Amino acid sequence: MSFFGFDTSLPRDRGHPAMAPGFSQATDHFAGLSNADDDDDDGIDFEDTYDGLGDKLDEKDDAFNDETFGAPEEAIGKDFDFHGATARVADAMEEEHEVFNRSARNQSVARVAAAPTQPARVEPPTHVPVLRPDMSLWGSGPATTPQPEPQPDPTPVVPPVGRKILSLEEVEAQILANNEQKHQSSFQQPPAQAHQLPPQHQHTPPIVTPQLHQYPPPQHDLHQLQSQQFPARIQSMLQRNQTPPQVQHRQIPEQHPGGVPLQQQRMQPVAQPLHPSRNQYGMTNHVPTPQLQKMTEAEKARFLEEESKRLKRNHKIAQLARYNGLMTPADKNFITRIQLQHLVSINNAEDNANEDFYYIVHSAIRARTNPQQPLNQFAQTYLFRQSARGRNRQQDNHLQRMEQQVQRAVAAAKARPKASQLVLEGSLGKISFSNVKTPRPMLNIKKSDTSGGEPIRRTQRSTFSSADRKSLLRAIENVYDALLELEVHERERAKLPILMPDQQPQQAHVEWSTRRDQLVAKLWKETKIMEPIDPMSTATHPFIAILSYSKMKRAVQRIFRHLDPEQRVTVLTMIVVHLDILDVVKHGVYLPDETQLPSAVREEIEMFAASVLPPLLGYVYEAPLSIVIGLLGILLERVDVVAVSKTKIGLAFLTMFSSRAEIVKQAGGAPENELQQWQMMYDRLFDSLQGHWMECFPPGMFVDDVYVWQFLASIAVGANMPQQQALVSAVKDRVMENVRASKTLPPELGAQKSANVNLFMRAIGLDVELLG
Amino acid sequence: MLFFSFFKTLVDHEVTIELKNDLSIRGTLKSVDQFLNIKLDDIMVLEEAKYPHLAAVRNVFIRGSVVRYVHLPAGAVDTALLEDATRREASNAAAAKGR
Amino acid sequence: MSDADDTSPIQEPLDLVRLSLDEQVFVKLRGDRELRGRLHAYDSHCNLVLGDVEETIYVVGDDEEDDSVKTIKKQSEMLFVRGDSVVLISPQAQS
Repeated sequence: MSFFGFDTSLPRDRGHPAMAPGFSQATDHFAGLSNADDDDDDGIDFEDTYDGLGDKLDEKDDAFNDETFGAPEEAIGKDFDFHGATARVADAMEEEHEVFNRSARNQSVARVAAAPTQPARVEPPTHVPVLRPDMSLWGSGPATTPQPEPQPDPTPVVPPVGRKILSLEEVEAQILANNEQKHQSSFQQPPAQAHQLPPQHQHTPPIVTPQLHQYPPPQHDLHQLQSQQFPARIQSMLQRNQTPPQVQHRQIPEQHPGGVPLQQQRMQPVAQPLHPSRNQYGMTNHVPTPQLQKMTEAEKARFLEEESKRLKRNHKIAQLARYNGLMTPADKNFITRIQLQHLVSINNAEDNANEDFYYIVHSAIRARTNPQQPLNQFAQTYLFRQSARGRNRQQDNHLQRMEQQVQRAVAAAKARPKASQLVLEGSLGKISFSNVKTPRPMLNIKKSDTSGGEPIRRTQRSTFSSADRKSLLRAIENVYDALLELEVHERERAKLPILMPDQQPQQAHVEWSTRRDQLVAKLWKETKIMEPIDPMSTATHPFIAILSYSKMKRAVQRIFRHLDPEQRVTVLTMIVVHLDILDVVKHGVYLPDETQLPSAVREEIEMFAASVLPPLLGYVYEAPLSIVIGLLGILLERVDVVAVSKTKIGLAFLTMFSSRAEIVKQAGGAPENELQQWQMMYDRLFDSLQGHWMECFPPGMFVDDVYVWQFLASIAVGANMPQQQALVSAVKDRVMENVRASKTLPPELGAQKSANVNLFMRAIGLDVELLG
Repeated sequence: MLFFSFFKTLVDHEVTIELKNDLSIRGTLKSVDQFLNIKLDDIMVLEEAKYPHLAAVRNVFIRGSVVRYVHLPAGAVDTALLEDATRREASNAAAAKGR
Repeated sequence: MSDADDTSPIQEPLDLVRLSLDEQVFVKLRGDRELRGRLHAYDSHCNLVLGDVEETIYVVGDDEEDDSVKTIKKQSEMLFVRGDSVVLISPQAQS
């Protein structure tokens, strides 16, 4: 501790907790508050703010002390200040000064005299022990005080030695305030007053201030204390000078160890003289006793009420102001930006979905216990592929659909009995009789037919060079990019305001539609389907080339949903035109020594059947007859039908067309010329395949040949009598084989196999049951 | 975040984790974090004889970095969705870089 | 096939890997291991998910005289591969 005591008081809050932990909290509040008003938070650093006046002192020689601390008559000036902290808070003090002056203009100001003198003589810590004997005198004090602040145990008084709670200026202020009050009011207060008012409100001797919060001295002791403790010189000085309290007060706020909030002082300038002694807690009343005494009881009550309200508010402010100045405006801006970003990303569900896309969609699909339950936008996109994961199931769906179509065609044909029925029955009856009894001779005949087909050499995907391969894969990924973008955009539709049916589309809707059209156009372009077909070129058309990759096959269904009917028929036409070079057709032909296609080819075929056929079927099954005629015409024109018919996918297309045409035909209402055109097409198809019917079947007996029976059934329905006869005689052996084979199979599989055959049999008006 | 998202869908499925020290642990995936640290319950060490000290352990926390493989139940993986999620992640990363 | 309208040129190595998505890939790993399978997912750390994987491990005989390399093959339906083991990813899926 330096002689002038400025260094210990600088970290104002630090001194407290050790000796009076109960007060450290309150002290902190005000420290924060006062700091908030203090522009310079770093003021704690003495070196930064020290004005250097102290350096000019000659400290070596105490002989000049008188000169230094001075006789009052030597005007040293208000700036002569040994307290570094005073300089630090000079601004606040000026401010406070202004406030005080405004509120108490009538009081004369004589400022300089006392200030320099005090530091020399008054050293609170050293005086504190002197107080000890007096403690007993006001030992009853705490009991009568309704003060809100915590009360430490009053008896074991440890003098706060080495701890500077009040600065010199405060002490001065208190002395002077006290002094002034002496003149304003009597020191002898009635005891009742002490009960009504907390003793803290009453005159307090400046010297005991450090302990006042612990031991509020009763009023009647004041005089005694003063006379005991004040050096005679100071007392006389005080009395002589009559320094108005507000002068000293202006230095108080920042000097005060408790960090007096400036606001508080501004609010109650009148109470200032008493202020320093109590406001460490922010809870103390600052009622000037003289004023109070002049009030009536009602006024007092009101005053006290207001006072307590004000104190509450002050306390609240102190609480709120606790962290004032912790963050710079830049910090705050930074935090605000982060918070805003957060808000934006929360509102933007798309962003979240980007981060956690798989989990969100997967969970949505899995969580759906009830299939009717509506899915969220994301999941809907993927729903159909959920079922597609079990590829066989999807395959079944597709086959079922095909079968239903053929059955419809058959049923329609049956409902319109033909004259040929009898004849057919006769022809097949003949077969059945002979075959059931002596099947073997028939078996020998058919073998010669099947070996006739010339094998098409299967070349693996090596048809594309590696550079091509890369660009094809790149093209597919571009398709996916466009597709994903479009799907994201489709989901945006949900965010648009809902339109009433008669409402004009708003700007947002128009923009959305425009954007959608752009994206569809982009997707359409990426499929490369519109690249010109060059019949001379040996290179595969790009669309067909990328369609040879399973991931492109998988994308077709998703692409199809975004296309308009014209684009759909374009896709269909493109595939039909290139049917024979389609990988699944080109590689789907059984080689002579093969009983099974390579697994890679089988996978591609399954993928094609599961992903590409369904949307095409969906289109064809609703297409007008003219389109079916056109497509079949193109197929017959440009494609080797015999080769195509040897493959599952090829037959699927043929079945698609013939069954659709048959249904349209049966339903009636089709223009006569279209029916004639169709008949021509049909005849051409039949003629092309005549002699190759058996080649449609895959090798082996216990294989999946249902698609062939479907095809034959769809052909048989539309066949005239000679055509039916030719058909029956071509495949009768296969019919018998299958029927026989079905009996050797387990009942379930056997029933399935005979049902497959029966599809064809019923198309020509028969039933396997008739075959015995 | 793709794989974090992916593994979250596999919680409560049985997986086999092969560590870089060749230890293989089968158990129920209980949780995963963004570092792909993994918590397994009801574990079973595949080569019990080789690692007897783990016989009594019921559950483990595996630091993601020591994992070599995780064998997954194929039925619990939606490959088409996963591929799309991968594409989205790749596109987003590219877009973020381009920005 | 024209590359003219391939508007997005390959910007970084992982874009090449993207081309192999849903395709057969060959993956070489630390510790003399190789994988062949269908690539279902990858990220920037080369974490992978492969389907229908065949793993080949090359083991040098343990005996001192026997330095012949043995191969061990393992199958897995669906496999997550931690990226820090990955040495290379190749679209070529020769098997």
